[in-house]
Amino acid sequence: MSSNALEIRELTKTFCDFKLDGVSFSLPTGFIMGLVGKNGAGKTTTIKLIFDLLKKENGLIKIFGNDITNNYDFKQDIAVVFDDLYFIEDWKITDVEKAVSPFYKKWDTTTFQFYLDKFNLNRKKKIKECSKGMKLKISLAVALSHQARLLILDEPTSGLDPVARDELLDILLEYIENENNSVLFSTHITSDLDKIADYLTIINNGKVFYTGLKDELFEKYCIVKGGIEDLTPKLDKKLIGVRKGKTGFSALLNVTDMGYITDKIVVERAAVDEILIHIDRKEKSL
Amino acid sequence: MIRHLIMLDFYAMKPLTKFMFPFLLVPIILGVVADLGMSIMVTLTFIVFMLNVVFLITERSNFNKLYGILPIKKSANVLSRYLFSLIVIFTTAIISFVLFIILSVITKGTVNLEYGIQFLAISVFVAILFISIQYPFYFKLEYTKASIMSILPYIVCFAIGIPLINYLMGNQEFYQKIIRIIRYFQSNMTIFVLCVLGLSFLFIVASYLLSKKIQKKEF
Repeated sequence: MSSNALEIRELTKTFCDFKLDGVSFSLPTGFIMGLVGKNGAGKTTTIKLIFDLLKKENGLIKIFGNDITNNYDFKQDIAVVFDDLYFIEDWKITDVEKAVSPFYKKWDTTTFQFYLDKFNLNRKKKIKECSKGMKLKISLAVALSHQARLLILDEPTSGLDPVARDELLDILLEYIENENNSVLFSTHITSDLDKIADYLTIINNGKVFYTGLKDELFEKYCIVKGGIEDLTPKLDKKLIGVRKGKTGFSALLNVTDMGYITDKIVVERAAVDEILIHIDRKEKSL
Repeated sequence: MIRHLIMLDFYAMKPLTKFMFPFLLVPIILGVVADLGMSIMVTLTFIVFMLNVVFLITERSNFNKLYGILPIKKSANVLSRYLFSLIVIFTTAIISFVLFIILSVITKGTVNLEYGIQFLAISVFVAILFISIQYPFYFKLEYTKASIMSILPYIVCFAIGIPLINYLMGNQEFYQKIIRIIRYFQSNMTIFVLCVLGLSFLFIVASYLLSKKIQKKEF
């Protein structure tokens, strides 16, 4: 069995106003990876390419070690939750199972019913009567009921209240208890990832800025803050996405460049949000 | 897998069923007050337009995403939509023919089977011709655009066809040939039905192949 649940190499797709440019990352089996980036960074495009909802120009996508080109049976083993639902608004929740379950060899009605109970979903309720949180739970119940080994979530927490978000994170942690299961979690709400992600892939303007262990990201980059007088030309060149004020500055810095800072400069741990802000600022300044 | 996709279309059409059954009253009334043969044609034409609405329902419900997620071959939904439509058309044809027989017995006391079969064959042909023309537009374009674009072939047919037919019918020799062909088919019902079904088959296969080729592939 492959050690990677998902492997993406040099994935490229061009639109008139955006290019996903050589995206590469790997998600080892048994872990949760956060796919992070601002809106329009290329997260959904990457996920759509995995599901062949968009045609890739170049690149390789492997699921459990197998190239997925011209193959559709791999979808038996993966599940996706998008931020919008793809069922008929007039369907009742029970209709969803009737319509979708025949497509999956390993569909488990008991599991589906278990999740409906767990999520307190009324089986007689129509999709159009469900709230955004309930719709997400229906998607999750479907995704978790065909014994998928890779769960892909595209911005599932956007629009959810903190309680619902917390519930979702608990479900993912429960899902990952089976070491054969893996999760790719696309979001721009980075606080969710602090709680659950093992790996992070940061995408900015269609390019991968970082991919690897979450903890290594925080070891690799830090936030530096200081007065304008401390901002030497050499340091300025090394800083990523400098925010300058009248009296001071703040920026992201690779820890290998720590030799350029003086004692007066304050060094702080970088949060994912701050990293995103500074790498975007760097892109805009180029 | 195709069978499950056809079922999915039936589930998608479920919200429409409440509108469909009351409509069955229309051909019954039409059959009683006007012409029994016409009632078959009206029912089948109505069904074709109901079938177009499935594209609207599935588009609104992001079914293209669902097709992308499900473990199915990408073009399978095209074949399943055509098969689903044929099932609906043939089921409706059977129901309308049964209605034709019942209404004939009630209103006239006898059943003119030949007349009924003639109308049934033409109605099925027209229904299949309609979906053969319209479906490639629905597979290629969004519903609103497709609804507008799919009218264009009819406008073109009327704009060119009617003057052309008028011109050709002015030619006495051509007119006589057409009359002879019509009489031949009127006196050879089996050949007429086979020809109509053969033409319907050709149209639907050509339409399916075209839809498969041009279908929207990115969502």
